[in-house]
Formats: sequence, structure tokens, C-alpha cells
Amino acid sequence: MSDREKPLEDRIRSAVASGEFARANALWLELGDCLRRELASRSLNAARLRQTRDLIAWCRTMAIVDRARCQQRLNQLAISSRYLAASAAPRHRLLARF
Amino acid sequence: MSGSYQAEVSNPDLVSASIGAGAAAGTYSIEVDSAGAYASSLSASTWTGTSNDPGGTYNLVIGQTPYSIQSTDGSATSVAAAINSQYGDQVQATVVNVGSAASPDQRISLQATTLGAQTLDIQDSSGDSLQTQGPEASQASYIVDGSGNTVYSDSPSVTIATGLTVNLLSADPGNPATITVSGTDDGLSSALSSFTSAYNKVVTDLQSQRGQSAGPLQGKPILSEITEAVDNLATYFTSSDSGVNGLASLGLKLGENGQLTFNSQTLDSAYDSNSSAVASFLGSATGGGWLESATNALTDLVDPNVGLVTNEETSLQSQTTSIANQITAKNAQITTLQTNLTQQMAAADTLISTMEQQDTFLTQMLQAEQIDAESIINE
Repeated sequence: MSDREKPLEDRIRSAVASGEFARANALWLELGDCLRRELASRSLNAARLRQTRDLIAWCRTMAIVDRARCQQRLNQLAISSRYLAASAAPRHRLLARF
Repeated sequence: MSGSYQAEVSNPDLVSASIGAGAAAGTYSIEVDSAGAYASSLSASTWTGTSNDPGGTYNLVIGQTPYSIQSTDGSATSVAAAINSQYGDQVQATVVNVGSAASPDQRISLQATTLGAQTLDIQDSSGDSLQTQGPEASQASYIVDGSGNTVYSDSPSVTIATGLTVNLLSADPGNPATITVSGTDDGLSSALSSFTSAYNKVVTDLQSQRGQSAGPLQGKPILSEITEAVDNLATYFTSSDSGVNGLASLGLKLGENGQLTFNSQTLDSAYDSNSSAVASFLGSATGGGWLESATNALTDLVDPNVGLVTNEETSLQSQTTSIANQITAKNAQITTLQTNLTQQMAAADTLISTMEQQDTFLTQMLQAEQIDAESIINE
């Protein structure tokens, strides 16, 4: 089964799990349209609604966690940059005379 | 290494002597028969200049040879300047005032640059002589070491032996002056004193690279290699039976602290008793002895191609370059990573926002369709 043949929810979980938030965002817009149609046709049942809201919560949590990790990594890189800048700075040269 | 020499003259009124390269110890005599005299002439009357010769054209006569002189305006000053400019290697012209300040009498004085008789004249454009010849001139003459062979010279400065130049100051026929050339250790003493200071400075610098709070050479092999080379300089020893076997014989004593001290009196004593032994021990940069050993040791250290210090410096420069390249690469990686993480955070922010919108969207749609969510949920 190709990725496009899988249910949207599964594809969203896969995208979020791999950190592909832009793709997950696009899939969510697609899922939103599906939900709109299901609501209009009164085919949205309670289980589906619960699963969707669970998926929303899960995606939100995953995005928040990933964002925090990114921020932490950026902070570490800022410190590394300062060490590298200090290493590259010119130092006093040792002169020996004979 | 050849020692330094000094010349002592028995009669300084007759001659002076100076020492040059290649001089050797010895005693010389020189009998000055004549100190010689330079040919000269002086304008016969006040220099009138341009009255009948606006162009300032004259003939300078040296010996029998006339030379055309083109002055700027024919004045004494300009004619003298023209002579000095064009023929200054043969004759020197000077403007002299033989009158008073109130009543000047400008004339041109000519003097040859070499000893010996010759005519020095200035002729106007008509060929008339304007100069009166000075006292009789002559070459200097002298006899070296009583050889009976009189030598004539057109210079008062004569070389009577390699590295020995004598200035003939005054004649005293029959009474030669004696010139004694002898060695002196003044130059050597000064050089060894300088060596002592330089050596001790190096030892101090090397010591500063060891132990706590040591310098950047701490633990590097180059440190012990330089130390060994420096130690060898101070402990050089030969098995000669001349009495000069090591630096201690020259007054250089190596202390327990690794520092040298120099006693010039010890050097004086060694030099006075056996200067050739001192010279033999020292040798030269390429002719053996301590100097060759020292030269080789220093070449091993600082030779631009194979020197240990040079190699170490090259190695350090290479490492520095490599590290700088790594830093540049790491910086580029960090920049890329920062960009990626910033983009990822932006995507996360977008997704979080979308989730909140979707949650609101679901609620609004349920309300818009007037669907009782509870009823759906409970279906």
C-alpha cells in the first residue's frame, strides 16, 4: 500500500512522527475538508470525532515537544559558536631568540 | 677565528698605522724619505670672471692636458664648481678670499688629488694662464724594513703588508719608525661577553617552558632538542694539549644553575700566553673548532630548510591552518543547522496553530450544522 492509499490520519501520524510538519499541516487541511463533508452529510460519528480530537491533541503535543527540542539545540549551537569564535581569535605568538 | 690586531708606532710624528683584514702579527720598519707634496696653483690676480667672457668658458690644464670647462657665468664660484664637478677626481678647486671682508679678493685655488709634480692651470678663452704655480710638488718616498729599495707613491697612504696601511706624515731620512703589530683579545672578549648574555637568555627562556605554569613548548620534543644543542655549546671540549680545551679556558664558566659567567681576565691570560691555541680552539664557522660546532648546532636548529625549530614552526603553522579550516567548516555547519532548526520551529508553530484552528473548526462546524454533538457522540 502506497502512502497516498493509507488513511489521512495514518499519513498525518507518519508525517508528524518524522518531523515533517509542513506535510502534516497540508494533510490536516485535507482532513479538515473531509470532516466538513462528513458533518454536512451527518456521517460523522462519535468514535470518528473522538479519534480526530485525539489526533489533534497528539499532533499538537508532538509539535510542541519538537519545537522545544529545536530551541534547546539552537541554544547549544549559540554557545558552540562562541567557543569557535574564541578559538579562531588570534593569539600571542611565542618568540624565541638565539 | 683570527684574532684582532693592533698596531703600535714607535714615532707617531712620522707615520700612523691602521689594521685591516689579513693582518698578521709582526714588527715592521719604515723610513720616510719624503712625505710628498701635492701640486697646487692660485689665481695670479683677483678673479674677474665674466668681463670678456660671458659664457664662462675656460681651459683647465692638468699636467700637459687641457680640459674645457664650461661654467654657468664665469664667476670664481661657478668655475670652481665646474672643475670639481667634471674633474674632481684629479684636482680640487676652492674659492679663497685673500683680501679682506671690506675689500674682497676672490681667487681660485687648485690642488691635485695625488702627490707629485704637475702643472695645474686655468686658461681663459685666449689661452692666457690665470694661475700662479704653487710650491714644488713631489711623490712620497719611503723604504720598508731597511731594504734599501726606495718606493715612490702618489698617495700618502701606503700598504706595506697585507692588512697594514701606513700614513706617511713626515719625513725623517735615516731614522725609520717601527710599527709593531700584535694581537689583542678586545674583540674576542666583547664577542664572548655578548655570547654569554645571549646564552643565558636562551637558557632562561628554555627553563620558562618547563614545570608549573610553563610556556607553550612544555612537553614538546623540540624543547629537549634545543636544550641539548645549547648544552653542547657550553660543554664543547677538545683533547688538545695546548692548554685551551674548553670554554672554561677562555673564562666562560658554566654554573650549576646552567648559566654562563665570563671572566675576561682569564681570557686575557690565555690569550697572552698562547693566542694561537685560543684561535685554534675557536676555529671558524667552516674550519673546525668550537665555532664550527656552534655553527652546525645552530644550523640544525634554525636552518630554513631542515632546522628543528623551523620544522616545528612549520608543523605548528600547518596545524593552525588545519584547525582554522575545521573551524570554518564547523561554523558553516552550525549556520546550516541553525537555519534548519529555525525552519523546523516555524513549521512546528504552524502545525500547532493549525491544530488549534482545527479544534475550533470542529466545534464551530458542529454548532453551525446544529448538530448535537452529544447526540452524535452517543449514537
